[in-house]
Amino acid sequence: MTEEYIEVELPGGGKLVELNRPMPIQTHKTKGILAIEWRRLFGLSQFAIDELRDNISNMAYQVPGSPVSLDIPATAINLPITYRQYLRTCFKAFEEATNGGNGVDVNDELTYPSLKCFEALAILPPGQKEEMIKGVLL
Amino acid sequence: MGRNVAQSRSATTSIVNAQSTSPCAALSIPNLGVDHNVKSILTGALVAGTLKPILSLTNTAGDVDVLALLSVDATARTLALRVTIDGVTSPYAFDSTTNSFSAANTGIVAAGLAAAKTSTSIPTTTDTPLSFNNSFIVEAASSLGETDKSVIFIRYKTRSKA
Repeated sequence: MTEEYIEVELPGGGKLVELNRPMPIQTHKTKGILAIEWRRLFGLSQFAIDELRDNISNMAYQVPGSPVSLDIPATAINLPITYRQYLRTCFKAFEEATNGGNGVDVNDELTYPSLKCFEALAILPPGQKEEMIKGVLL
Repeated sequence: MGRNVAQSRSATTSIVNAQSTSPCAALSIPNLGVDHNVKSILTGALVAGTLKPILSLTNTAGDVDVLALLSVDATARTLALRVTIDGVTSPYAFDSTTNSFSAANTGIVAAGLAAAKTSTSIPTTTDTPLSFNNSFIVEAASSLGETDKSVIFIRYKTRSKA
């Protein structure tokens, strides 16, 4: 592949020679996402998420209107553990990341599967996880 | 009659930081291009283990206050960064290679950021700038043969030569 170097005469003399490979303009923040930034991506779903988070260890709690139980294997993410077990871990990780940690990372191994779980539980409408996983619009 | 007097300061001869000795632990700097008003240059096609010139300033003086080479994705690799100031190659001002790492936005820093970002703070830019009086050359390498999987972040000012 032929690569191009650009040459620029500098003010006052001198020359800049630079590889002409500008980075595409970043449109979304994908790392170090603050808790409030991540929650806003959920939109109206954040209220149901908050209720789920507060009740994740209440074995009598099920997501209202969900087509699946929290206590069945998480087939949406091909894991033998239950949705409840998986999301409990995800909520803990979120708390650690956003409370003195490095913030939410959309590429973290827990992020997208957690969104798939929320969709399976009918908390997130279909299609929203694909937008959320892009990150926070700059 | 007024007279413009060009600024003159000693050129940086060596950069010593936590990563200046090979092999070094790679440093994670997320959102560098977004939060710090730095210029970014993808490294293009790299031959495995071969340094490639990315930027060259010649016949001018200046100061570089941020210089880093970071990965774009989480593929396991090492990254190497070499800086030549005013043509001095023995030794180079900076010439170091990371240990193998597997994370994006991670790599090696010659100037500028001292700490990775956390959710409640930004990296501190406490480093003094690198100064050159005639030339400044930046070269990058990866342990992998790859294209546009690493990026140079740089921020500099040029000034009249003394």
